[in-house]
Amino acid sequence: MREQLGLNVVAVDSSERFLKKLEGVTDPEQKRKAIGNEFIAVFDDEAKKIFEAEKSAGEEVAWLVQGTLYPDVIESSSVHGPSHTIKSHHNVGGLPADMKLKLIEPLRDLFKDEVRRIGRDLGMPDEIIERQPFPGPGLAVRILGEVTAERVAILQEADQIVVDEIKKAGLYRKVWQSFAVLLPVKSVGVMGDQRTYANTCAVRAVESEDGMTADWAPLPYEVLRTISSRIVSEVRGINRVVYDITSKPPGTIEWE
Amino acid sequence: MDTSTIVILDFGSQYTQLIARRIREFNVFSVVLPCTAPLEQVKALNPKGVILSGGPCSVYDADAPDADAGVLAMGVPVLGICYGLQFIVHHLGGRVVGAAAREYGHAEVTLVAETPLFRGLPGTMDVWMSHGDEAEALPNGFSLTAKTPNAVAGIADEARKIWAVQFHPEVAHTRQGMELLRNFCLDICEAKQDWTPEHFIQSTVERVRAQVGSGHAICGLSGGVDSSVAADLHLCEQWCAAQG
Repeated sequence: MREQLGLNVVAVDSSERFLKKLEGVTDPEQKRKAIGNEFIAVFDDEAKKIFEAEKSAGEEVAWLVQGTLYPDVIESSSVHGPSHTIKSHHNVGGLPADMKLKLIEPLRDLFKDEVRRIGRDLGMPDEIIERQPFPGPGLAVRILGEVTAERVAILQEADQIVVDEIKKAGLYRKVWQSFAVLLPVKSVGVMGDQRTYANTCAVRAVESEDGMTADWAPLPYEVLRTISSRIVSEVRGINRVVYDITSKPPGTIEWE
Repeated sequence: MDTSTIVILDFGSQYTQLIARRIREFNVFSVVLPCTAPLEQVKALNPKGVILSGGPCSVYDADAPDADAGVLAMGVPVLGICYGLQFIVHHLGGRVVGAAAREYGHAEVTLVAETPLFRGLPGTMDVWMSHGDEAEALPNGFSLTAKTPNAVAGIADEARKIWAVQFHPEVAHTRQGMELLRNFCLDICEAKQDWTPEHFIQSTVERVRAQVGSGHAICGLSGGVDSSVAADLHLCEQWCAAQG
């Protein structure tokens, strides 16, 4: 981002703070809440540092930029629409009152496909413009059961393989989302002459226009075969791969 | 530079946003307002045309979503879709009743009159229907422009610049729906196709610059497309300079 877009980006690794808050948490709602609250706390801390630095340089931060899109704006005022409350991005809600930031929402007139067109015209790289939607709370909602550093590492490896193979098959833009989910289910396997007892990984790929409804994607068997054999042989801790064939509704795209 | 605007009044249809997106696909700016928006708000946008969306209710329900019928007398072209058609019939002195044969899904429509809305379209069209009510008696000045074997599918009063269809041109299942919307926006409303990425970028950068001046801003950047474009737009003075 820094080099490609020339933005002044501060990257913060707060993984330990998040993992601490997630210790022993298995309930999906509590997980989301814990992550949302911690996100605000981290954002506050970092924003404060920027404020202080700017102040001592005689400058002032007065604005907060947000990527709110038109569907949220319409829904917030619609009479019979699906939702009467605006979906708050979890980076606004909790800003302390002493930061009196004014909001800039440059995309509030646009639909998602228009944002992509604008991004393309701004010369942004394809890997940002075509990036699949990603859950707000991050990979934690794709780790069923407790989130630990070890399980995060396992999922990241498996997910990377899914994304790689989907891209290699030229399907990354065709599917709406494609990812791995780590299940709290262990089963027996055999690798070489060794009996294994390890985790199960679910692969999820869906096709959708807007994320409101979705069909599971009929991925070619060859792609599924490669994903499965690569995950089992390359990711230590997974010995079984299953494919999720549930549409939305009645399922949801994410598992938590 | 004034952008040509089409106003869509939302009566609660699941397809309302789709109407706005379809129109923007041919580079005409469209705005969705709740049907309860005051007439002044609609007028303030100086629209080239107004579209009345579909909706889940019946116009004769006690709590049916209603709009200021003044939009029908603004002198700008109006296109009613589904509930929008029934709204027009109901408010201008016609009659809407529960249909004997309700129509959901695919239907075949026969065009029975020549009108600019149907220019270039075939005499029979596959369309997407989703309604339980129908127009039984048309208001004075209106004539039938299209029908299904069961019901009224299109009406118009060209003198008052009001057109309406019972089917949904905005959904992909209505094969020539895009042409119909183009006919309305480009030929009837004479909207300019000036809603382009360049235009948006230019006007947004101007607006943000006027707002922020030399102030500083922060942004939570997830790496996804929305926050990245938002952040990039805010800082794209270089881009503008480069474009000259």
